[in-house]
Amino acid sequence: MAVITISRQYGSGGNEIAVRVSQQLGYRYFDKEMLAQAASEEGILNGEKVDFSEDNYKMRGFLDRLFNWPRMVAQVGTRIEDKTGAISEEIRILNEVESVNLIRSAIEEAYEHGDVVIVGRGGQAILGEKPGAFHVRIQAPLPARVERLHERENYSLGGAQDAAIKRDRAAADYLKRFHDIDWSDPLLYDLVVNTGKLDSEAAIYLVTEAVKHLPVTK
Amino acid sequence: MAVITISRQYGSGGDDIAGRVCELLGYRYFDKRMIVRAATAAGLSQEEIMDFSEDKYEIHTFLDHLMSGWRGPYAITHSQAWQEEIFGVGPKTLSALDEIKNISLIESAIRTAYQRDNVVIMGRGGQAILKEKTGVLHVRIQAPLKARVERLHRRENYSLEGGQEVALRRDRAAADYLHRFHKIDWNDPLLYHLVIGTGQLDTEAAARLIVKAVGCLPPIGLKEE
Repeated sequence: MAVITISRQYGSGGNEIAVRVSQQLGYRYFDKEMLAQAASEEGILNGEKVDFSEDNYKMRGFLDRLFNWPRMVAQVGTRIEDKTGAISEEIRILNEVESVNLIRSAIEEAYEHGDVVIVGRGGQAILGEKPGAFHVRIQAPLPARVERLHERENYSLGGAQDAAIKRDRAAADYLKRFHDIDWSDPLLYDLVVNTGKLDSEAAIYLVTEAVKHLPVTK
Repeated sequence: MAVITISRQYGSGGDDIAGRVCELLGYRYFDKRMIVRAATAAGLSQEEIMDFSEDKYEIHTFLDHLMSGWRGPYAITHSQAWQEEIFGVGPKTLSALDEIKNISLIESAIRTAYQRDNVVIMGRGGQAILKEKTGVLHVRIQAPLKARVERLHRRENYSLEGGQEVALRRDRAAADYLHRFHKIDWNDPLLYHLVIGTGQLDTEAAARLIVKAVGCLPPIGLKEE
């Protein structure tokens, strides 16, 4: 009975590890559906079939700064059926602050629910030292990540290196900006697995074993 | 059939974990005796050997250099305290090996231990000396400062302020040692297969996780030198 957050460097295999860990433990995988659920509960929108779509956070561009309003980073859409059976769509665009607050509520709710795996999104910051929250980080040396991205995601080697560096910088920036933490500080995590030295199968196994032997809380 | 190196923050429970891992796997614990044995084989007497435990290493001040008159490899001027602590002998003028020779001694003792296998090596630059060797699992044990201070208070009778001070000082010493003699950043997670936080995982859980991780190492052929 725990909530696992998984922070991962791009190309470290963290997503695959997170999915397999949640499968093996029978935990819910925190996804857009859970975010959308939170959105409707927050009263952001009413209606059925709420859909949450989140842009990749990118550092603010010149135009954004120029116009000085929070960047729009997410949209929530819902389909509403009225009495006549006609269906209409309502779309609400969230700015950064609303988006981050929504994510925070959704993650706190997921924590109350328990038995969830939360990937990224500042989970390690939002849940911090709450009992039963177990923070994992997956990382690997850059060359190993470049190779994986090249093999699995069809990047060229140069492209993979650029992508890895850029994505990681964006993630670090996001976490610094909205949660005031240093993404790569090992002390944020209960377990760090280096997939440059241990393969994904080993990582999946060790994370699930660690969780299974946590002291029972909550 | 492996070697485990354990690097740990002071007060994080690393020693307990190492001991438990040795029990669970039937491994030997690499300690002073192995270093003494290596030194004896090299023809040194016990009094000439200092177990260069990196968390007791402290940076030489300019004054130390000035006073000792050395210009070459430096004699360790904090050695008196170590002699007392480690070998239980009274203070005396140390005609010790210089630092470089001491490091070489430890390196060769660790390499010997690696060849003999089934050993847990605590600290002493094991993660650097055995860096790319097959059949070695590198683990780091850490904990939030608060948890470490609490443990030191409970187990070693430090006051809370005293515990904090000594934890930070010992860690700084270890980091300096590793940077100076092995050119590594102690805190870099990529030096290790696993970093384990003992804020959440207790000694038993951490030890068992390490045992499982050993099982995940790729099988090795003949060990290189």
